[in-house]
Order: sequence, then C-alpha cells, then structure tokens
Amino acid sequence: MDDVKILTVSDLLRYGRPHTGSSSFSPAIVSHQNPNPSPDPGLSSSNPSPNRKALTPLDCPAVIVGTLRLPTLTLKCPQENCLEFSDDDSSAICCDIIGLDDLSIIGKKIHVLTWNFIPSKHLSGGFLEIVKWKLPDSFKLPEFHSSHGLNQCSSLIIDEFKLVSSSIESKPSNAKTYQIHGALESVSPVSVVPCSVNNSSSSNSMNLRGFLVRVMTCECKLCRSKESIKVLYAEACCHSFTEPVFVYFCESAWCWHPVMTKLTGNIITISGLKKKLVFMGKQGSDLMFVTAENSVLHLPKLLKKWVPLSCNAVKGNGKCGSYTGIVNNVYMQGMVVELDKEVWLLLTDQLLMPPHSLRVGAVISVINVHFVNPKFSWAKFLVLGACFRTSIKVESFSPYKTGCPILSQKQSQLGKFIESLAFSTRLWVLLIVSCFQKKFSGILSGEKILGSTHKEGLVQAFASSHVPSSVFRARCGVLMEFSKHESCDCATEPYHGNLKLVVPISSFIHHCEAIWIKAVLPLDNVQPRSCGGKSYLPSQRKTFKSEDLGIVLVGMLKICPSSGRLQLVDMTGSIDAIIPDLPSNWNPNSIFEVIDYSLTVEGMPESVNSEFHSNDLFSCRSIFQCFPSARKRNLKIFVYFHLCNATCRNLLIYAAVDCQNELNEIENGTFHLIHITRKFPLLQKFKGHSILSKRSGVFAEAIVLPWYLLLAGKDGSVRPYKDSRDYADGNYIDHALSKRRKTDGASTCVTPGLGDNFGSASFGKNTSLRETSVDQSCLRMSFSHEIPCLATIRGVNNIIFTRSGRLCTTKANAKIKIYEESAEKNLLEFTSESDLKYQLLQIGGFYLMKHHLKDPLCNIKKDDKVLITSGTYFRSLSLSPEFLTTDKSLHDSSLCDDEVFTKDQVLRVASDSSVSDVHLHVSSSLTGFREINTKELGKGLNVPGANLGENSSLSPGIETIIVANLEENSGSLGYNCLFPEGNLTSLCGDVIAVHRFDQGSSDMRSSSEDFADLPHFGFSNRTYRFCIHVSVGHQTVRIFGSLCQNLFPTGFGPGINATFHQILQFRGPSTLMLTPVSIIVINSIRVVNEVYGKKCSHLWSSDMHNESFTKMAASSVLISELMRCLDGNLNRFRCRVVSVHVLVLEKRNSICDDLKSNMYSRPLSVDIPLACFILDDGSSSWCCWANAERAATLLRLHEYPLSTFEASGYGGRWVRIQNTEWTSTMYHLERILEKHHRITVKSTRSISDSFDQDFTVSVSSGKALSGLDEDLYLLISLIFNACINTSWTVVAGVMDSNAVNLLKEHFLELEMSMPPMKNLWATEVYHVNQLTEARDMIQKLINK
Amino acid sequence: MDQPSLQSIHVKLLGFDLLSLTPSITNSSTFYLKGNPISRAEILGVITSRDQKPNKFLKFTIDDGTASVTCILWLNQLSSPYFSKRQPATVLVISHLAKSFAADVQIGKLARVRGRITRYTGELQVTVSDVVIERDPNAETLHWLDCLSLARRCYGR
Repeated sequence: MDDVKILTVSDLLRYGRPHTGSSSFSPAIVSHQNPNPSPDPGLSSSNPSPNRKALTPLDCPAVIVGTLRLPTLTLKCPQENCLEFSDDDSSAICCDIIGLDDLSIIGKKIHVLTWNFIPSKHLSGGFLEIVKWKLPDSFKLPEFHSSHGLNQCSSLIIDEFKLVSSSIESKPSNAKTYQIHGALESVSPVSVVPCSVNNSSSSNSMNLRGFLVRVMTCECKLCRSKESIKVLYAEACCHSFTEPVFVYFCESAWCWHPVMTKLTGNIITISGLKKKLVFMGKQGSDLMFVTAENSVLHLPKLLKKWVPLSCNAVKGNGKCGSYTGIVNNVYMQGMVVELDKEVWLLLTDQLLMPPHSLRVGAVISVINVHFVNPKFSWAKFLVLGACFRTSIKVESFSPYKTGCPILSQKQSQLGKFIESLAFSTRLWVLLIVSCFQKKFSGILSGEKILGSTHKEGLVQAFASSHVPSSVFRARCGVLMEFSKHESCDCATEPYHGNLKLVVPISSFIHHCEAIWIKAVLPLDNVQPRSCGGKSYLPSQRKTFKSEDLGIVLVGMLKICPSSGRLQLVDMTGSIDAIIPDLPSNWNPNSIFEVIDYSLTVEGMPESVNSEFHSNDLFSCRSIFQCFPSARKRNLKIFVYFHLCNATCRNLLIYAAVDCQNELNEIENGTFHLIHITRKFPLLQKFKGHSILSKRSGVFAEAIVLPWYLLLAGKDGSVRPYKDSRDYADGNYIDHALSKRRKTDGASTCVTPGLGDNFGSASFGKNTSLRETSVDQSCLRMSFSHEIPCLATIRGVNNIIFTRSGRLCTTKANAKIKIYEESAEKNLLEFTSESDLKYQLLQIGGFYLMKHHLKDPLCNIKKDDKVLITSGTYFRSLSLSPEFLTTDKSLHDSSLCDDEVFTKDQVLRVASDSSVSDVHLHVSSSLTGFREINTKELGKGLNVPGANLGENSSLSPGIETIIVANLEENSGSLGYNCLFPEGNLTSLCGDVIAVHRFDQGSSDMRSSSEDFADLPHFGFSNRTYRFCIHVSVGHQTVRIFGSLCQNLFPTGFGPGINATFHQILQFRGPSTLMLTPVSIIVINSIRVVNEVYGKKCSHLWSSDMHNESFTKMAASSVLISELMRCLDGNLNRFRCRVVSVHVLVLEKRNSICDDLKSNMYSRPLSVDIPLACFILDDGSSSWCCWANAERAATLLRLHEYPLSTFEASGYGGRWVRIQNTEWTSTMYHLERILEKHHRITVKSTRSISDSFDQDFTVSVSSGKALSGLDEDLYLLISLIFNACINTSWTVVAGVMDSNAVNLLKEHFLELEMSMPPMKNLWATEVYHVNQLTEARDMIQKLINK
Repeated sequence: MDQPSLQSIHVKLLGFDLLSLTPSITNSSTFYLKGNPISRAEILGVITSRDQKPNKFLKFTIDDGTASVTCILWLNQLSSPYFSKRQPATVLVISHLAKSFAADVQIGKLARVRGRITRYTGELQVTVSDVVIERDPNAETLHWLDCLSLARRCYGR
C-alpha cells in the first residue's frame, strides 16, 4: 500500500479526464450486485458501437479519500438530489455508489478503492462512480461494501439513521408518533410544492421540497404492537406486506431520496412519523405519514429483500414490472434509453431525470415501470414507460468512456405535449422529433421544428393532427399520480396502432430496397428473355400501396439540379416523385405530408444480395441514429401521389408565402396563348466538349397563337393594357371553389358572375362575336372576335378562384392553321432556374404567358427565341371539353382498355385538364367560335398515337405516324453529321420491357438480326445502350438508343404507357432509335400485379412472334411435316437437343475479334466454326447446323455453371466461383483452348440417345484426349449439359444440296459420315414461351 | 418421302398411352404405338413417389393425370458391367449427372422425363435418360397439347 497514491476530489477535477482508477494494479472490477440473471449477452452485444472505448485506467494505483454525503443543493447538478463526495477543502462532486447497503458510511470519510470518473461541464466538474470502498478506521468491516462475511447475527443488528438533521438535540415530543415496518415498494421523484406554515404568530408561505415513498406494511398483531424493531425483523417470516402506506419525506428529510431509491425492494422501518393531511392540488387530500424531527430510519445490517407475493407475468398492456438490462444507447437528451435490443425506456417526464450513471454500457434495473407492447404495424418492440413510481437503480457502472445523460431544464410546450400522451404514443412523437430534426435541420431552425416555451413547432403540429384524443391523459401532479396511481390513466395503454411512421427519406429508401427484395425473392425463377439473340433477365417492378407500408412521407418538393427530376427531399436524401397535378406555382419551401401514395421499386433480381434479407420492419434505432443510406443496389424507386389529395397537406411552415402577389398577377391583364409542339431534352455532354460542361438552358418549340386572353379584375373590368400590379386590391378570392362552375346551357345568363362581369356584353347566339379595336403601345391590333369566358384559376396552395375574361383574336391571323408550314414556330428557352416550368411542359399543351409592355411575343417572328425565366408568368391552360376535342388515343392503350384493370391499378401520369393552372369555360352555345376554332386548334392537339390496327401489319401502322409528323425530319435539324438517315417520328404504346444492350448473361447473338452497326453517339461514359420493347396495338416494336440512364423520365419501365416523341425511324419500320432530341412522355403507369404479368407475358410472346412471324415469316411445323413441304422457307420448330454430332471449337483470333466486335455484343471469345446438333421435336429428328453464336446458345455456354460440375469431383474447383457472366463455362473453355487452340469433338455412338454417346476428342497438336482427362471431362459435361435442357424454339431453313455437299466433303476430312436425316441451318434460337405455345396450339386445335 | 421412323425419336406420350403400348414379340426394346414401332418416350407429370437404392437405382413415378408411370433411373454406372465398354470420362459424367437427376427428383415437382421404354415383370416403365424439373406450370398443358397434336398429326398414321 506504500505505493498507492492518495487522491482527493480536487486532484480528480484537476486531472479532468475520464478514467477508471484502482488501489491495485489489477483491472477495475465492475461489480454486479444484481442477483437476477444478466441479460442475454447475445442480445445486448448485437449492436456494439465501434466507437465505444473502455475508460482509460490510471497509470498508478491510487485511492480517493473523501466524504460521502447526502445531497445538499449546493452542487451544480440538474438532478439536485445526487449523493455527494467531497474533500476536506470543500471540493465536492456528484457521485453514485453501487449497492449502498451500509448507510453508516454516509457522512464519513471513506477510501474509494475502485472508481470511474467522468468529467462533465454540466455538473460540478465531474461525476464519480464508486465501485469499491472501505472505511479507513474500521478494519473489522469488510473491504467490500457488500455484506459477504457477515455472520447471521448481523441481520439482527439494527442501525438507526436520523432522517432529519438537526443541530439542536431533539426533544421528545408529546405529539403522537407512528412507526411503520414494511417493504419499500416505490419512491417518487423529488418535487417542490408550495406550502404555507401557520405559526401562532405569523403565516409564512414557502416551497416545500420532498418526496413520497410507498411502503407495503403488514397488519399483523406484531406490527401493530409496540414491539421493539428487533422483534419485527426477527419474526420476518410471519409478515405479509400487503397494505400500502405513504410516507412523505419533506423538509430536510428530502435528501434521503437517493438512499431510499437504492433501498427500494428492501424491508425498512421508520419511526417517529407524524400523520398529517396532505393536500394534493385541487384534486384531493390524503392522510399520510410525514417525517418529523424525530423520524428515524431503522435498517438491519443485513438488508432483507422483499419478494412480492403476486409475481404475475407482466404483459405488454401497461402493467407495472421490473426490468434489468444493459444500456445500449441513450437518445433525445436521455428521454429515450435503449436497453438490450429494442427495449425502449421512456423517461419523458421532466421530473424523471435519469441518474448520471445511466451511461451506455451500464446495467440498470428499472423498478415499477409500465410494460407496453405498442401494436404499430411498422415495428415490433417493447416500451418501458416510466411514471412517478418508477425508480432506476444502476446495478453496474459502465466500463465505457461514455458521457452522462444531461437533461435540459427548460420545459417546452412540446415536452408538456409529450407528457400528456400514452407511452407508446410518446415514443412515436419522440421518433417524429428525431426524424424531423434529421430531415429539416439546416432548412428550418430548431425552434421551428421543436417549438419553444410558448409556441408549438412543426413536430407538435404534425403529431397533434395525427394522435387520437384517446391517447391523451390528464396529468394531475406528482403527489396525486404517485399516491393514486391506479386511478390515474397511467396504468392503461389505449390501442392506437394506426399511428403511421415518419422516417428520414434515406431510411425510407433503405426500407424500400428491403421490401422490394422480399417481394421479388419468390420470383427467383424469372426466365431470361431473349432479344436480338441476347438473353437478359427482365427487371422486376413492384408497386406498394402506402397503407401497406404504414409510413407517411414528409418532405419538400424540389427539382434535382443534376437530373432535372422532381423529387421529394429532406436533408437525408431524396426520392423521385410523380405528381400528376403539380401546379406550376407550388411553393418549393412548403413541407408536404403525403399519406396516400404508391411506391414503385424496380431493379434486377440479380442485384439481390443475401445479406439484405433483413426483416421488413423498422427499428427505432435506425430512426434515432439514421444510418446513412449506402445505396449499393441500382434500384429505381419513385413515389406517385396527387398533391390535391386531402391527405397531402401543406403544413404551412412558411406562412410568409405571398399569395397576394400571385393572385394579383393572375387577377387581370392580357395573356398570350402558346401551344407547345416539341420539347427538347437536356443536352447530354459530349466527350471532350468542355464548352457544354456547364448546364445551359433547355428548349421547347412553340407556336404563339394569335389569340389573347383578357382577364377581368374583381370589379369586372377588363384592363388589358396596364400593368396588373396597379390593380392590386384586397378581398377578392372566391374561396375554395371545390368544383368548377359549369357554363353549359347558359346562353342568356351564364352564371351570375359571368353575367355581372360582362354586363354590357350580349350573349346571343349569333352576337357573341364582336369587333373591338384597341390601342396598344407595343402592338396595334384589331380583335376580330371576342369570346366571353370564365377562367378557373388554381392559386397557391390549391386555392381555386374564378375570373371572367374574353378570348380575343386578331382578324389578320384568325384562320391560321397551326400544323401548316406557315405556322410560325418559336423556340422557348428555359433557364436553369425555370427548370420546373420545363419539367411540367407538355407537348401539345396550351400555356398562358402574361403580356407585358415591349413584350417580344407581340411582334414575334418565325424562329425568334423567347427566354423563360423563373420570373416569367407561365401557366398551363386547359379548355372546356365542349371547346376542344381531346385525343383519346393518348391515354387509351390496349392495356388500359382491358377490363381486368380497375382504376387504382393504373396511375395516370399525363396531366389532363383537371390539373391545369387555368381552366377556361366557354359557353357551349357559342357555336360560332367553335366552328372557327375547334377544327383548327383541336386538330393540332392530337399527339400522334400509333394505333396500329389489329389486323394491319406493322409497317403501315408506323407509316401512319410518320405521315402525321412528316414535317419533322432530321435534315431540318442540321444534325446529319451525327445522325443516320431517317425520319423523326412519334409513337405511343405500352412499354413491355426495357433492357440494356451492353449487359446481360449473354453476349451471344444467335439471331439473324444484326444490330452491330446501329450508331452510337459519343456521349459520356454514363450512357448505356437500351432496347425498349413497346406494344403498339397488338404488335411490338423495338426502340434502341444510347441514353444516360437518368434521362429517362421518372417511372419509366415496363408496365407504362408512353409516347416517344422525336424518335428516329431507322432501317425499316421495326427499328426505331432514340436520339438526343427524343422525349419520352409517360401517360400512365400500371401497378404491376399478376394480371399485368400475364398480359405482359402475352405481349412478350407476341413480341417474339413478331420476330419470327413478321420478320422471318417462319411458320411453326413438325419436322415430320417438313419432309413434305420443302418450299425453301424458314420454319419454326420447338425441339430439344438429343445429341451433338460434331463440334469444332477454336480459340478466337484477337485481331479478328476486334474487327468483328460491335457495340451491342461482345464478341465470342470462343469460335465454333462447325457445330452439328441432332434435334428432336417428338415427330422426327434432324441435323441442325449453326454458326458460332447460335451454337453457343444451344450449348448453353452463356448460362450458369453446369450442374454436373457441382456433382463432380473434377469440377469442384470451378463451380464455387460465383459469377454472373463469363467466368463459368466459357471461362474454362477459354482456358482449355488456350492450351489446345483447336478442339474437335466427334460423337462415336448413338445419335438418338443423349447419354448413349461416346466421343473422340482431338486437339490441334493431333493428340487425342482420353482417359479421365480433366479437359475431356469438361467437354463431355458441356455436351451432355446441352442435351438436358428444355425445349428451344429454332427458326431454320433446309440447306440446299450445294451446302450439304460441302459439308459432306468436310465430313470426309473428319473421317465422319453425315447422319441420315435432314440438314437445316438455324437462323434463330431462343427459349420457348410455353404459355404462348400452348395458347397457339389450343387455337389451332379449335380451328380444326 | 416416306413417313420417317419413330424408332429413334422420343415420342411424346401421355401416361395411359404409354402404358397401353404393345410390346414387340421379337425385340424387347421395341413397342408399338398404333402400329408404329417406338422405343423411346418423353413424358411429363408430377412426381408422386420416389424410392432410392443408393448407388443402384432410383425408382419414381410420374403422374400426368392420365396414369402413373414408373421410371427407373440407374445410379450404378461406375460399377455396372453394362458401362464397362464405355469411355471412362463419359461414364463418370453420366454417373454424376444421374446423381444430379436423382437429387432433383422430389415428390411434388413437375418433371419431364426422357428415356427408353422397358418392361419389368410385365409392366411398362421408362428407363430414364434425363430428367428436367419444369418450373413453368404451363409446361404441363403444353405437353398435353403436344401429345394430342402429335397423336393426330404424326403418331396416328
């Protein structure tokens, strides 16, 4: 002990670092006092934080000498009831001590032998955790604080502790005093209550500090008698502690609070108590025991534990119980403590302050806590709700260097709100708080999110709109709730499982990926499809409804600067959004809450990673911690919702939005009518072109119509020629017209409003057109016609109001036809700030632009460019249906017509008139106008829809489209140097499949079709080659293109109906190409379901049919029938490989390789100059000759490793290689060819039985492979593997006699004979679609 | 051209057609289907039983709704004298393949079986060449239709 340093509190404070110290060199022993089994270490260590570090030990043995005291209120400590440890020189700090069984050390100088010290600015310098101690002057006492070693008699040694410290010797009082003996069941928090003290002379009011304890007493005779305390303890077994009594520790006795908390669950005796009536607010009063001057606490040396008789299993319905666990994390300033794994202790009440020693890593016991099992759909966990009866005992201090929880003292309105809720709802609100803080920190101030002492914040506004009234609980103060616990709401937990979760968007995306993977996993038997001879796996798209997810989306709407996509964003992430009714004047600072939405996730099944098979429920930890979303998978995720939906609310955080200006701007004035004819996409960056590195504006082509809209002000006057801002006036909003007014049949008096506004105008059938001449500073024009109309305008936040107005046209241009060559088209340039305007722009749509003085639109000439900035008033316009005919072909596709699709299975994307910013009603009686205009205006509206007739062939259908768009051609764009020759066209149809052309499980081309020379533009490396299969009518076309993936519109994928504008008709009608000016407009998105899958599969098969029927003109026959109809045409067979007659494999020449390489397919690394397969379709067999690519398909070289290898010892080292493309069969074939250069495999036995084959295998050196050669094994496996596949569809033609003779010569060289069967040359090989084949056969059988 | 022989073809048959084939008196491996000699068949149905003798054979039954056909998959390639004249590497591959097929044959799965038609204790059965487990349930319908179509167009004559 000589080397042991003596430290004081001052030394600790000077040292000021977190550490653990001990009087010996041995590591600090963290003692466990808890007799209960410790929690499952597997659970508690399931999420060990990598940042947790153990406390650093002091470098030398030491003891701390100091005095342990009861709390005095002199220390800087928010708890104000901590035990204190002090020096002689009055330096003092808060402390805690494990298992304070021996109270005699209080007030005495002790030697602390093992301790942890945690410095803290919030406390008086730090916090001391006393693990091990001894009394310096008493060697008889055990070194440990525990009672080990005490003999049995010590249980009858009773210590006495005066509860009220008094310097004056207390005099025996005449007043009756009481003694209670019982089990200390619970201890309330310390509270301060106002109290008036009535003396004989004066009455003083003071604040009384105190706390209540609930002691379960016994009503036996012994307890009632005035027996000595020793007798009471000696006869312990005869007591039955069932009768609760309350003792109020007040005045100076309050300082016993930490001691009483530690004594919870022990048998105690208190004497010298008085009985007093304690008033608990207005609610009531109770006769209680109150500590008095002579009150004494009696404790045996060996404390007796109390075991409650009723030890019912605690259910999660709010009943009280005790829980012991390891503190896994502390969140929200100590209000939420995670114990073990997903057990959430809520310490939300202001008075329930967690002890300083409740640090991460500590083992704590929570006594009298409410067990609540919230029935949330989105998570499963246990909530421990702490009430005023709850006590927290630290059983073992944390060995980690973790800080003490510090509660803020400020009582906010949000805090009060949370305290008024049921426990599980409290956790929900706390999750919302945590989530909103993460979502909006940096966007909104903390005060706006959380509110302040007097003002409610975003969280409270959100939460209170969601929680039902049943979850609110009346609070009646600590004394009342403690003493009348059972009668308070505290113990009951109402059911409210319908509370939906709000999560940070990054967590939401993570969750989406998880549920998608879970949903698509059953689809792991997705069959690869073939396109152009390449096989690929179709991407899997799955749509989820919000009600199944249980998550509410909250965020702001922004346009992503890089992709130009509309996204719902928060600070943690963003998700693409499709909002069909998004007005162009929405406030980007608004926070939207979306309850009703559809979520679609699309991706490749191969991207599924086994590590991601987690459960689909949220963990609260993930929300409190907000894991950064590392998106490894390349999934497309988007949400679809309607802004006008009642569940989509603007929370109006920014009340400062100036609706007034917006209304003023639309209120009156003159507006130009613009018709959009074409939209140009974002320019993609060309390689090496730095000039385009900075994003420039985007363009659209438009026709400025010779029509003007003149809108009246509130007083009905039409003031077209002055700045509208001059007329800003007050209260004119026609409040929330939920539905637009109808003007039908109102020829004499349309509506009161309309009539008023056009007081002088007459509405006779033939008098509605009148001529007006107006003088305008920038434009002199004479309006030949004026049509009165009513405009319904959607303002900020969906406020709808109406204005009357007139549609006017100039005489000179009245009869202009917008689709004629003479129509003057102009370019609209949208600056990057006006991105949204561009995004919402619809081809074929009408728009309003406000007329201003010196407006370029008034004198616009052909090819003039108009700049649209963020300040330009630019609103979408729709016209009443009687005014214009709409083109149904745009929306009604073959899929949409299908009766099996209900409304909610189709998500409309394309905007229609119901979501435009301004809607014009024109009386249907005004036929004169219609005669003039509907034909001319309306005709131009028809966006070309390729409605190919069911019976028409593909070509005429496509040509129809081309005719409709003939004026658009590539030549006029001047891009001939880049583009191949062809016409630009438009196409509308259902997208069946979208796949990349430069990836997939195969680089084979087995089709006769060759896409090798399809041009590829020199875009940046982020562009990929795509093939889009589109069903038009009942036929399928393919659209190729190189595109940067994010240039596809949000939601693009299989199952949508889309219009492709400005696509290039390239090399015949069946091949279309996307060009850099192409625009894809999604009309509708189908919620993918099984029905759709079938439909899609049908379309897909018709797609495959297309290839074989329309292009190849091949008919399906039996081989046996082929013998009778040798007409030289191609035929389609469904057959299996029976055997491989001969196969020559060569190493491919690398120079040749480069020459033959093309952009859509990687060259085969193995050449197959000769391949002869024996195929059998059940009717006959035939010799099938194939080129390298098709032979490779039939040999299944591109498929995954052969199953035979797995079973073999030979292949053991091959098959373990998990690969997706080439490292399997092909890899090893390459390896063998590297060795042998050329391999010839000849079948030497049966050609009609797969496994009756033997082979001679010779290599270029002349050597024959034999025996159990590994290479020979591989080659034989390869051939057998080809024979155990299911059927192929092979398109083939009979070889002519010349070709057969050449083959015969070749066979002579190989010393082989030709099989005695028909020889056919395969031109196409692909997998069989069994469903389609079966359908076809049924059809044929029926027809016969 | 004459009608090609079906002798070396894997004739697609329904179970009850297979079981009603007439054995040839002269050649034990030949059976007659409406007068046409055949020796190989392809059947498709649900596996309804399996009985494996390790390293000897796997006996299983295929039920296609019309009948239950017994199939025998030999697993003794490495020990049988029948294979002694065959190429060692081929026998090894076939042996591994057979084991792989045996593992695939599980009750309830839809299997396509090709093999030789044989007779054991007077009952017709299929000696299996290969087994393919069909994942697409449409395969069953297509097989029925194929059998129907081929019976009309090809096997009936």
